[in-house]
Amino acid sequence: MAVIQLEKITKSFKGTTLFENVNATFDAGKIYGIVGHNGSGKSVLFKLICGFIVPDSGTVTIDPTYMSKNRTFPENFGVIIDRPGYLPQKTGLDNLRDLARIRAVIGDDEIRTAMKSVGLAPDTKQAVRNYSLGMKQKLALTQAIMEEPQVLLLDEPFNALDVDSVELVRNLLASYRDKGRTVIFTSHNREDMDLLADHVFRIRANSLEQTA
Amino acid sequence: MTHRIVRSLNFAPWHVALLALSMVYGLYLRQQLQVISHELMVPLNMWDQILTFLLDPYYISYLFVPIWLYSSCVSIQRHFSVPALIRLGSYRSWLYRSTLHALARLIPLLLIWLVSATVTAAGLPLSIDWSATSTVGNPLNQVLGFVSNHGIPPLLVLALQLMLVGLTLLCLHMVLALVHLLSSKQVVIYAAAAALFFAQLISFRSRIEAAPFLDLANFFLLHRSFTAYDPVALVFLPVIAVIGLCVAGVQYQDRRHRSTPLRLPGSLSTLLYVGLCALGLIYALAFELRNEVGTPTDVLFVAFYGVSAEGFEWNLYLYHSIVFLGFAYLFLLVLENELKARIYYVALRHGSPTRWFSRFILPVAARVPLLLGALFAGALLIGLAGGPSADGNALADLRLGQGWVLYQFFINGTLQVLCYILVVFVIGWLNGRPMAGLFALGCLLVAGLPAVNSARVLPAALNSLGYVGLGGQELLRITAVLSVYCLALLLGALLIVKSPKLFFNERV
Ligand SMILES: Nc1ncnc2c1ncn2[C@@H]1O[C@H](COP(=O)(O)OP(=O)(O)O)[C@@H](O)[C@H]1O
Ligand SMILES: [Mg+2]
Repeated sequence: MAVIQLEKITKSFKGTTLFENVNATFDAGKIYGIVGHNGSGKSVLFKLICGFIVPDSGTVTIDPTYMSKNRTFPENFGVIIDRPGYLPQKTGLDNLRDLARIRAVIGDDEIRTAMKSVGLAPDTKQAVRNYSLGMKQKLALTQAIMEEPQVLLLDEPFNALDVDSVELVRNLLASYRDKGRTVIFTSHNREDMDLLADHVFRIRANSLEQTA
Repeated sequence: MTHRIVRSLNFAPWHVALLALSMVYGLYLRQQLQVISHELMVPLNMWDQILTFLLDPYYISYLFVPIWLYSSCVSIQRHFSVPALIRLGSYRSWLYRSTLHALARLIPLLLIWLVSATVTAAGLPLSIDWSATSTVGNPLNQVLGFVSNHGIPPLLVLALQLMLVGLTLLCLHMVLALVHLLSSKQVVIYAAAAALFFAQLISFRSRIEAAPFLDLANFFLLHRSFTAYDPVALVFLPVIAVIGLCVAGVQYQDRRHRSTPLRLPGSLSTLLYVGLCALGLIYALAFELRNEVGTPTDVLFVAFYGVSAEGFEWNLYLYHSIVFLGFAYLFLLVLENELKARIYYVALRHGSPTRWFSRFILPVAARVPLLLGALFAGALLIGLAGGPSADGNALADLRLGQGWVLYQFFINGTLQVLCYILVVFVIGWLNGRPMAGLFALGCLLVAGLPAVNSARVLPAALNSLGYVGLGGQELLRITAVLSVYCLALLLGALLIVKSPKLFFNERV
């Protein structure tokens, strides 16, 4: 069964239609890239998949492994949505601890390891408010990967990263695929798509076309 | 630059509505003046109408000031942005520019006021001096009677009044601008504006003679200035001093931070809150000592007296509101932070909106009894510091017959604060903006007044210890009322949180 299946999804905001009758299937063990110009609805697509936005019509089906009865949002998904995701007055580590405590499947050690794996120093006393753009992006990435999720939904994960970090994250995503996990990401960079994506979807004229 | 902004004084469509409203109000005032003049059988002249209008407390405090504060908030937020700051080069020039924008907003408002005052005076005899009516000093026309006795010609009174109001309003604008600069949070500037609004309302009602510079009405009404300052020109000093402080604050900001605004630490609001709570308890002790009955529970009683069925004293009600509505305001800040910053990530991990809601609200709810316990302990400690009561046994009264005080303080107190929190949550959520929660708090502040809530069915200030005098039966009824509200609000909150349309879609 597909990890995520979109059937006849239609969604518009106050008169502007973003998606019309969109169908798509995302399978396990693959990396999917989503491209589309600014405002085409990439972030909205991710929110639809997570259940943060409901479609006007159509269904989003998530593999029941990740969607037990009493859940509205999928389990074992790591996401980056176009939202900050941290309280600015706390340190990076404290922010991640707050989030990790909710599911309580990982402890401090895993958080630290995850931070290091994207090139963040776990023990800086800096509040996130004083982080650079790239550091905030790394924090968002850590948040998404720290609980070793089976599915990653990453909205523009490479934004603001330096060359070394881009390399690091690319390897990380590739290793996710090799472990049979699913990755969906958006990027405006051709190279990311060419190197990483097994399949590429393009949002054009309110629909999702598979281009590769 | 200056010229361009001031030249852009444009009249908006709502100015026409304001003009119409002002005209109607002016005609109403005129009618009243005519009744007075008829009764006293002395003639009016144009100054009676013009100055009565320009010195009218209702027009100023219920119409002019709120319009001004609101439009200031909107304008400040619109003009405060990184691109604008970069172009202006410093916070100081931003403040100047913002003040110029304010001036461009102010002039049409003052013109509307002046025009409606003058037009509604049409037909009255022209004169450069006071009329017979205004110098009589009759009880119905105290203001003019008072002002005309100061030997200042009416034209000068008009000029001074307009200058005073104009300068005060610009000063308030600068204060709000500074608040925004320091906090850069939407709710904080609106909270400051609301506080200023209520402060001037209170000040119009009752004077603070001990500290005339804290009495806002002195800076809006020339006849109030005359009583507070001698010579009257001194009234401009505090205003100018505050403007100076604002400029100094901004300059300090410029020196410390070249590029990013200094944000107050999030904990500062909490600190301020705790400080205010403690100050109130100490004030209550001082109040008690003056009455020579200071026992620890008396301090508790006075501090949390709030309102009673008979009426209210504004300082007691103010303190009550600071403590309990203030707690809801802190909650609002937390809620805003949570919604803005990380709701997606937190909710995803919880798995469902209801679970998110319960995990979010329960810790807050648990803090309510803790807050009350801390306030109780604080009141006792401060009360003990004031020495034992006359009968030498400080804690005796706690054991005897104070049961209902404790019941009202803890049980109804907990329910009341829970109600506040849930109202803020529901209103803020339905609206998609925490700002709306602030509006709800303002409504609750008014709803708590005994005149409004005489039947004690609105969930506001019902935990006032002033109500203990009504007897245990009534306190139990209050408990029932508050419980019903809490349950209904909780149900409402769960429903709206569950509704996917309302939860994230197009709102968060
Ligand atoms: N909650 C919302 N309410 C109204 N319009 C929205 C909302 N979320 C997104 N949009 C609109 O949908 C369009 C697509 O947004 P988005 O998915 O963020 O674009 P992008 O592809 O650049 O990520 C934009 O025009 C945006 O204004
Ligand atoms: Mg986007």
